[in-house]
Amino acid sequence: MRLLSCLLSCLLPSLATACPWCRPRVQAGIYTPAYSANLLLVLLPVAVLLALGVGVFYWDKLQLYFAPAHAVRSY
Amino acid sequence: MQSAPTSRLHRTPLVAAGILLGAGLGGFVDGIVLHQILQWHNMLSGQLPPDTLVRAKVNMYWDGLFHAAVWVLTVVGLAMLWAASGRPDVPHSGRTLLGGLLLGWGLFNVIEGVIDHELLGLHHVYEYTPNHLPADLGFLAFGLGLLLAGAALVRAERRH
Repeated sequence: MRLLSCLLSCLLPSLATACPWCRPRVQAGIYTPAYSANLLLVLLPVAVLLALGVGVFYWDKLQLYFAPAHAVRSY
Repeated sequence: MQSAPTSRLHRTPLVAAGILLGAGLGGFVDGIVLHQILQWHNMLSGQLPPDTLVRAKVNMYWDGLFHAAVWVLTVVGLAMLWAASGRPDVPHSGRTLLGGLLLGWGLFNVIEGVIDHELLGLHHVYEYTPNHLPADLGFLAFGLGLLLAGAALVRAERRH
């Protein structure tokens, strides 16, 4: 426990001061008014792929759900 | 565990798991090789060129979000693989899974290439040239090749 607290006290200040002069400018560059739009654009291809994969995984159930009633009864 | 009759086998859950795992791992290849090792582009390098330390670190943030998203894809794919492997009506087929993995990687390249590179212009495959098209088309062609190889493997196993 003492070793852990010693390590943390040594490491944490060095992390916090890794880039003291540019951190506010980096945060200002990330959290702009366009943040939500950028987030949406960056995640868009991944969201499309996720929807596609989930759709294929549940394809059998989706077919049953969208099939006409007489076709479902024949299963 | 008894195997189900061939007529009632469902391959789509295994293919879906392969697609998400392949897309996730393909995303990691893009992020690790093209963003970090070769440093050809970053997520927003088309709009915010990483020509200063601050801009490079802002791009690093968006790269991190992209990596987090493809990590989620990989985890969902793994969960699907686990679910599919417990179903008696899903065949235990390495070729189908490999086909799904190639399909997923190819789909990642094609979908990400069309949306991010061509439609939105968030970045291009190789930023440090005035003509972005050859590298962008090469990325898409590689994706199409993977798609065709994956589809061929899945179809071959279905006929088998």
